[in-house]
Amino acid sequence: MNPNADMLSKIIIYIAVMLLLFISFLLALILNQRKKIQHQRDIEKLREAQQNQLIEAAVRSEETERHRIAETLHDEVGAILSSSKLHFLGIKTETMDTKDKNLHEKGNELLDEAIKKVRGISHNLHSSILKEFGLNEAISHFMNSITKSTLLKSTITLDENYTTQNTENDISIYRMIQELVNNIMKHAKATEISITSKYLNNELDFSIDHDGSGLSQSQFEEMRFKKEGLGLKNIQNRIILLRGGILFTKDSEGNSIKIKVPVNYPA
Amino acid sequence: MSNLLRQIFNWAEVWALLIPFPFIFPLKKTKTLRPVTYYVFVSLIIYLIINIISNQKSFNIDLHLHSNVLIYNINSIIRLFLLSWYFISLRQPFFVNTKKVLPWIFASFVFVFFLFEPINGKYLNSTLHIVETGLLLLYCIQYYFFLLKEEQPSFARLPSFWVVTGLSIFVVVNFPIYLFYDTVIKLDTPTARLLWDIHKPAFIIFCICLAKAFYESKR
Repeated sequence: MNPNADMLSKIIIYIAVMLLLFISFLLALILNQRKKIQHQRDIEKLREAQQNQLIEAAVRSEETERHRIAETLHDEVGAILSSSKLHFLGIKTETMDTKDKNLHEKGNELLDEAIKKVRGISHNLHSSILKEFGLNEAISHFMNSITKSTLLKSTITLDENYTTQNTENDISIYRMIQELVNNIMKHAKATEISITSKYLNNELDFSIDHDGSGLSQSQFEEMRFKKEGLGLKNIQNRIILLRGGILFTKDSEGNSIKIKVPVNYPA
Repeated sequence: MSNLLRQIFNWAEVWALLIPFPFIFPLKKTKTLRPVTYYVFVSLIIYLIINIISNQKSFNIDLHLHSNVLIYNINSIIRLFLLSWYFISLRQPFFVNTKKVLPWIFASFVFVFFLFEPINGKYLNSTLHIVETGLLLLYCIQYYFFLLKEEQPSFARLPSFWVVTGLSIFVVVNFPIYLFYDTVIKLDTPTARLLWDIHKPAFIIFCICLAKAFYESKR
C-alpha cells in the first residue's frame, strides 16, 4: 500500500474517531441536561400539586367554617331571637303607659332588625342559594341584598348559558365576587358597580367595573402579600385553585377587575 | 467549472468568515461576544493576506513574502489571545490566571521559533499549532464540564455554547492534522495539501456556529 495513502487514511480515521468521541460527549451532555430539566419539572409539578392541595384544604376548611357559623347563627341565635320575639309579643301592652309602649315598640323593631340581620348574615355565609339556584342567581341575590340598603347602583348582566358544572368551583367564584364587591364598597367608595359575565369555550369570564378608587394589578400584587390583605390573598388562592386568572386595571375611564375561570376543571 | 469550485474552496477561510457578518451588527447587541467579534474581523484580514500571498503568482504580484507560515503563526497567537479573553469573560472560575498567562507564553515560544527559522520558511511548524489546538481543546472541555453543573434551561439558546461547539469541532479536526503534519510533509507535499481540504470544512462549520452564536446573543 502507498505509504502516503496509508498515512492519509490513518489521519482520517483519527479525525473520525475524535469527532465521534466529541459528538458522543456532546450528546451525553445534552441528554444529561434534558434529564435534569425533566427532573426539575417533576419537582416543580409536585410542588405545585402540594401547594394546590394546601390551598384547597384552606379554602375548603374556610367554607366549612362559614357553614358552621351560618348554621349556628340560623339555628341557634336565630331560634333564640325568634323565641324572644314570641315572648315579646306575649307581653300585654294595653296596661302600659305611653312611655313603656314606645319602649316595647322600639324593642320589637330592634328584635325584627336583629332577626333580619342574622338571617342575612347566615344566608351570606351559607351557599344554599348557590347550591339550589346556581351561580347567577346567587350573585344577583347577593348584589340585590347589598344594594338595597345603600346608595350603590348596580347593574348585573350574567350569561344565562352558564349552568353549574362543579358546585365547589362555583362557590369559589361566588366568594371571590363577594369579597371583591365588599372591598369596592368598603375601600373604593364606588357609587356605581356593574358585573357582567360571559361563558364561552368552557371559560367563564367576569368583569366587575366600578367608578370608585380601584386597584391596579401591581397594587393588587403588592397588597396581597401584606398582613391586612387577607381577603386579596384568599382571592389569589381561589384563582390558583381554579387555575384561572385575575387582572386589575385602573384608568381615567374607571376601574375594572377581570376574572377568567376554566369551568370544566375538576376542583 | 471544477477549477472554479476548487478556487472557491481554496478561499473558504475568507468567505466562511463572512457568514457571521450579518448577525454581528449592531455591535451593541452582541456585546457579550466582543472577543469573538474581534476574532472574526482580524481573521478575515489575516486569511485574506494569507490567500493573497499564496495566490500572488496568479494575481501577477510580488509581495517579497513568499510564505504565509509567519502569518499563520500570527493568526494562531491572535486566536489564542482572543479566545482566552472570551473564555475568561465567561466567568467560569477555572484556571483564570492560567488562561491569562498561557497566550503570552505561547506568543514568546512563537517569537523564539522565528528567531531560529527563516521568515520565508516553507513549512508550517506543527508543534506550535498542536500546542495551540491542544490548549483550545482543554478550554472547550473545561467549558462543557462547567455547563454540566449549571442549571441551564436550554443550551441551544446560549451563544457561548455555539462558540465553544464550533471551536471544538474545529480543534478536534485540526488536532490530528497538526499531529501528523510533519510526518506527512516529509513523505509527500501534495498529500499534506490534501489535509487542508479536511481543515477547511471544519472552519466553515466553526463560522456557521459563530453566526448562530451572534444570532442567539441578539435574541
